[in-house]
Amino acid sequence: MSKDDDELIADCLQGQTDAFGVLVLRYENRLFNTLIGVLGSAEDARDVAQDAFVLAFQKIHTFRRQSAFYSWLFRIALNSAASRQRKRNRVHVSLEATRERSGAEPVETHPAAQPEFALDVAERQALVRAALAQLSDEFRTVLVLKEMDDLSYEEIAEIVDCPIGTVRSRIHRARLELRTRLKALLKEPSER
Amino acid sequence: MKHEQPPPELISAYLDGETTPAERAAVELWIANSAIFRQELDELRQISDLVRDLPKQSLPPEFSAAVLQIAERRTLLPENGDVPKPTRAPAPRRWHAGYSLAVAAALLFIGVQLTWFFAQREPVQVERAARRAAPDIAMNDRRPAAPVEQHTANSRAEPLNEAPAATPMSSSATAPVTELLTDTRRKQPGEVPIDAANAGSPQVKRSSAATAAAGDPVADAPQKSVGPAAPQVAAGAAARPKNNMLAMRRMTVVGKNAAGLNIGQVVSTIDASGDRVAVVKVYVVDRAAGLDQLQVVLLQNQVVDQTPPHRAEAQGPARVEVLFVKAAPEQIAAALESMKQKDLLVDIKVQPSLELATLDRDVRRGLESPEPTSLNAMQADGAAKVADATVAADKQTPGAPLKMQIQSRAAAPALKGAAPMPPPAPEKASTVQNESAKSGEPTNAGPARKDASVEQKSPPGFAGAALPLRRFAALPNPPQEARQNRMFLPSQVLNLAPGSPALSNQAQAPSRGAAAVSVGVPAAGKLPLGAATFAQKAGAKADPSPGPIPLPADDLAPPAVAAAQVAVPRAAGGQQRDLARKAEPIRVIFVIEQ
Repeated sequence: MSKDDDELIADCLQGQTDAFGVLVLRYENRLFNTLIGVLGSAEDARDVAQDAFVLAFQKIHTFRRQSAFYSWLFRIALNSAASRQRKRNRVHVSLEATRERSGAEPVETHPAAQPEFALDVAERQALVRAALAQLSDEFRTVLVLKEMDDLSYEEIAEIVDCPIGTVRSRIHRARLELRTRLKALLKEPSER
Repeated sequence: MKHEQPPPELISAYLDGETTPAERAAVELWIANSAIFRQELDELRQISDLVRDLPKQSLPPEFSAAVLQIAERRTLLPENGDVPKPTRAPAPRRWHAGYSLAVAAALLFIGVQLTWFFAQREPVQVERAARRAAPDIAMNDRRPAAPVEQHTANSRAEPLNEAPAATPMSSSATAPVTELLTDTRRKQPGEVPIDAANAGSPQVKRSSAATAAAGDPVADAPQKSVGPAAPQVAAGAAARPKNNMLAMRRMTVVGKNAAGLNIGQVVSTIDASGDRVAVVKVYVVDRAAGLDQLQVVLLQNQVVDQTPPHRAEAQGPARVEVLFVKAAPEQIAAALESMKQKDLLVDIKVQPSLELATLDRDVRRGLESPEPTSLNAMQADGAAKVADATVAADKQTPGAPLKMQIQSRAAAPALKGAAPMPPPAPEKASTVQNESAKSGEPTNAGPARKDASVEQKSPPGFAGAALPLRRFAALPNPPQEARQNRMFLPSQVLNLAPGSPALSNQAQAPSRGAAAVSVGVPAAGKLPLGAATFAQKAGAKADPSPGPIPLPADDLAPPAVAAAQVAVPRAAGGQQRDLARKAEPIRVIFVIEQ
């Protein structure tokens, strides 16, 4: 029977490095994918995930278990990502960078924005990623944590360190912004 | 009936199931009565689905292992690699203290040789084929055919040292260092090549296994004679005063003349810097992976006081990372055992050292040259005395007396000022024989040459090797005699520049201050792509003056030196590709102070 997070953390605190390895295996892809959504780049996501796990390993003794390990881990990851962004002096993901990374054109100028275009799955996904990248960091982070990680508002609030009401508001506004950008992808009720 | 519109964000909260019962009731009532509200809810649900349906990616399988490795290293080492200086007495005081402790405070010198299976498979296969074809000259024929050929072509413009072209040394200028070694051995009369000695001798197989195991780390792994190593270390620990003070030094060697080594090749030499003589063999391994793994293992075993080796700052065709660790021998023993258990090593052995006092006096003189005061002095005094000697050992059965043939050409002028050596201990008195006469082979010419054999107890597992003695002294130009005999001189490998800090340090160091230095370079051709590229690039930048070698400021002060043996790590299949991309040579040498 696999151990739960608390047991693994306890083992890790007793010097069993392998226990932390189990935690890494358990959460690496989840964290990785969420970070892709937040950062818009798989490469950055991998680096930040690595930094986050390493920091978590180093600071595991400070984890008070008042929250889920993943929440704590993701908070570390966000801090790490913010630190990296500060170093890069890149506050927002630029459209140019998004285009380079994802190969997707900005929604407004893409021919797929025209209703007559039928988009394949890959194109739709590229558009969604591009639209996500255009959200502000605050909106994108909470939305990704909700949609990709399916965290509760409470967990998100803990991670981003803000009230639940703020999380609720940001998520809603993020969806509204995406709706505006992805209008062409939305289907009428009669189409479904 | 008119219903008050709920706050807009309540729609998303409702969608996410994050509403209170009262909020939920309010939203549902609004949905039931407003088509606009229903449409908005529908669109937000579609937006949510679009994001949720984004494809998921997976990290590579080695991610977790890499994370653990980095995490452990960063936990135990400062991130920036700045290790606090060891809190210890200044070198001179420590040196005197070491002498006052005499035998108890011995320095154990261990060369750890690592290599990655993938990196050395091809050379080793050639090597093994050669060994099968001519087992009695296996060591001589161990040079990898194709890769060396290709590499020697690259290194032709970089002759080994500044030896004249007419000399045998210069004629072999395109040969890798290992060739020089093997040829040197071949020329020594009466000596037993290390691999030849190993053939048919169980306790010697550990030597050939150092190379053979690379092809098949499991099948060819030598008999697990780690046993002799650990007890040896433990015995040293028992004899020494308790000293957990750790220290470590590092050194990056850049030398054009080291060109010719493949990853996976082994270079052997003897370190005779103290009152003990040690055989040191080092494998060329992947630099980054080897060091990472090594440091982690060391740190896991509480060998925490390390100086991380240099990384990519060194430029040049050859570079060696030398990791000096000063730690309690039991710590090192535990670390080495861990490396075995983690499949970093297939096998590792520590050869017991030889009591220098039991060697012939001339030989001892050769090993204990006067303290070098300057480069010129070292040149003038016929530095062959420190390097132009060879120890040849017969294959021995465990516990049997070890016969060593020693050929010394100690230069008399340089020895006049040397302090007389104490006579050998009576119980270990030398038995002088003229092995050259016995073998009937021609001996090396030399005005002060004296052939002798020294008989002493050979601890189990120890196999002598026909290797040139050397002292850690920078010899910018090998003596002519050494060139002719293709001796393995430190300078031929290091190509130390006169006036370099290394020489300065050496000159200031006590006469027995010693460290082991050897070099490696990836050869083009048979190496993984990354390594080959590295070699080619490096070759293009060949610098005749490799620049200073950052030796430790304080000496290593080893009153005794023990020996080294080999390890061949296995690389997991998943790691091989990744490692191959950054394959670089590495030699890792522990210097362990007890």
